[in-house]
Amino acid sequence: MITKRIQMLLTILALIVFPLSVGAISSTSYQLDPSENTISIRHSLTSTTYQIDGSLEPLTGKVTSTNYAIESGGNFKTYCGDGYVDPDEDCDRGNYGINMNGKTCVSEGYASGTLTCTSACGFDTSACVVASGGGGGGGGGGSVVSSSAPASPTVDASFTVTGFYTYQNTLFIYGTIDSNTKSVEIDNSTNGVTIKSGSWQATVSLDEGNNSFQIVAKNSSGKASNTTTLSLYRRIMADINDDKTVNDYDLSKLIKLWLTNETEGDFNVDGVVDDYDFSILVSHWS
Amino acid sequence: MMRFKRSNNCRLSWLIILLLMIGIFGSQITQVYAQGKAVFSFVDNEITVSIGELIKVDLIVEPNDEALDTVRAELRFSTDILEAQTFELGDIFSRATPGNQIDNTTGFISEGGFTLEGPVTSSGHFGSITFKTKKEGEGVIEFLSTSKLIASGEEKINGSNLDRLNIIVQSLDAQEQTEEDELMVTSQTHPNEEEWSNVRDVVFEWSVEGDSSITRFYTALDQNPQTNPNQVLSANTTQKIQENIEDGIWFFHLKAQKTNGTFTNTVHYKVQIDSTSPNPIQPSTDATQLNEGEQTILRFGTTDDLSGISRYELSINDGPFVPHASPLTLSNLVTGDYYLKVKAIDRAGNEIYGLTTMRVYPEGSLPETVNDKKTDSGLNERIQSISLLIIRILGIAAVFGIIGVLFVKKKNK
Repeated sequence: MITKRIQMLLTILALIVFPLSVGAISSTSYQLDPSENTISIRHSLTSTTYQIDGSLEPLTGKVTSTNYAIESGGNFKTYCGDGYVDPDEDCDRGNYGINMNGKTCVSEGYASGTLTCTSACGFDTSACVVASGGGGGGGGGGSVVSSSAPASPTVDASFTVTGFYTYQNTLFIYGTIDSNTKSVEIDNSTNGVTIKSGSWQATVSLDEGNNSFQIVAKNSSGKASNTTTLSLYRRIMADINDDKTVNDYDLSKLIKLWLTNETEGDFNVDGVVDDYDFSILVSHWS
Repeated sequence: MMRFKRSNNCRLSWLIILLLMIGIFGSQITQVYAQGKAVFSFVDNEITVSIGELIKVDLIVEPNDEALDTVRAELRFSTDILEAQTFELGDIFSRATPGNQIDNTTGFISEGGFTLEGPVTSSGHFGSITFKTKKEGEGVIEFLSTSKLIASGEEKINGSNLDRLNIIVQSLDAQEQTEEDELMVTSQTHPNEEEWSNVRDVVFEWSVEGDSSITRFYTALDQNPQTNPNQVLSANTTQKIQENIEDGIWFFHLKAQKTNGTFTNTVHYKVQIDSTSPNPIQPSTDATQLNEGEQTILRFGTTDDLSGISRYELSINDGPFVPHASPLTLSNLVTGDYYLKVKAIDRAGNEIYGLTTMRVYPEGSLPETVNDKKTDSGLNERIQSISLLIIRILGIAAVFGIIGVLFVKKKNK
């Protein structure tokens, strides 16, 4: 009788201990963010499979786990859906929203519309609207060399509005070109400049203060258009009043923008001016 | 006729001098912000205290029709008789600004606060500085013209009205000194009066030296460093437990009454409690995607509204936390994902975490960005400042030249 009871007790104990000893975690909503306060409020991540495969969200990457394996070195691989727009991708559908890499229908040469991201991390331009008056197209073949110089490349109006500035050290810029254009040079170089269906685009590095770029379109015979000059102004990060120092006056202006979506105070570009932008202001305090 | 002409010449010369002076020094005026009506003030004009005493100096903000959101009090004090210990924000600007400091070597204090609760339009208590008196003498605490009272980014301080407070420190008389030595207060939970703690339950213990016969003790706990205690405890009591004390700087006051009816001196024991985490922190890197071989800068910072930030620690890819200061250059990065976790720790040991990530690709993977090689803003600024210097030197030379010519003309006449 006593032996039977001991056996039963051992069986119950084994049933309790076994799952723990093999490390099984059976939860459909495993919380990967166990303790750290602000993170758990804003950025906790739940998984039904407890499988973290790959990478973290850029800018907002908020995955915490004591046993999370970071991919690096020889085993490192990128994949579609990891939040980063890798070199072989146009965009990426991460866990925290779609990363369009700053691109829109307009940057892709369309007149308007909504550019979306496919599950294969490519652009879906089906909702983009083609500029009216276009068309015609076709005609073709042969190797006719255009003798006339192409029209000057245009720059999207969003970059040329009065008072334009950015806090970022790189900026994705774009504009349109005519059908006669075969290449676009920025500061006498085609490096980093791509051409897509009537538009050009490039990512430029910006110094603090004024930056000037000379943009020229060339046809297939190398004939150049008139030069388009683009001036871009980069502010010191968090220097809202642009007096070259981040101090109490910028803080006062940030308070005025608190909980709005004003880009002037939204330093981390998450759509709201809040404590995280305040933290960025603090880290740039002069 | 001649006299008229000479007078005209003279007037013209002075006009030129005036214009040149404006030209030379006018560029400096552009940095001066508009002034307003708001002022900082002290509650008193003069305080008399004894050596070794703690004094709490309250700073008042008077908006005078301005709507203030951010303020900074900058003060100078006499270091020979005063030692600044702590600053505590008052109730109208509840959050601390970055860049606050207390310097007992130079006698300089810079403490700022701001509010997210809407602008402050009526007078109120900005904060308190606790000083300890060091020796007998007279000193001063005064607001500096660099203090700031800001509304929506605009300066609103009335710079012509800067208040000052005279401090007179007197020596203790012999009897008081003897009596003060009789009572001793300690705390095992908060043994160092100068350190911050995040423990809110405090045990105060005391002892009486010598064979003085005590009939009762009087205690009090508040935020005033000089309270005369009035809560009675029996003569055999040797400790008092205070639970759930709110964040702030508190003083436990104790005195004893002897059988002959006289009192010992009052002991004021300070405890500094901060159980609140620092404000949120958002680290950021200059680039979130880069090629192997490139480097980037990681920046981080936050504030703590009570005890202040003690240090920052960084963990890369779940490695151990190591103390670091911002900005931090990250170089020699191999291909992979980087998980950068920054911990801010305040002086009471409370923590907060912030995270950012970045990805490093094999060399040459990322498309090039177009570099702006034409504009060197630093060079432009240097050229501008050199040009300005040359213009000023020429201007000053011209002014002295004209003055010289006028002087010679007058002498010849």
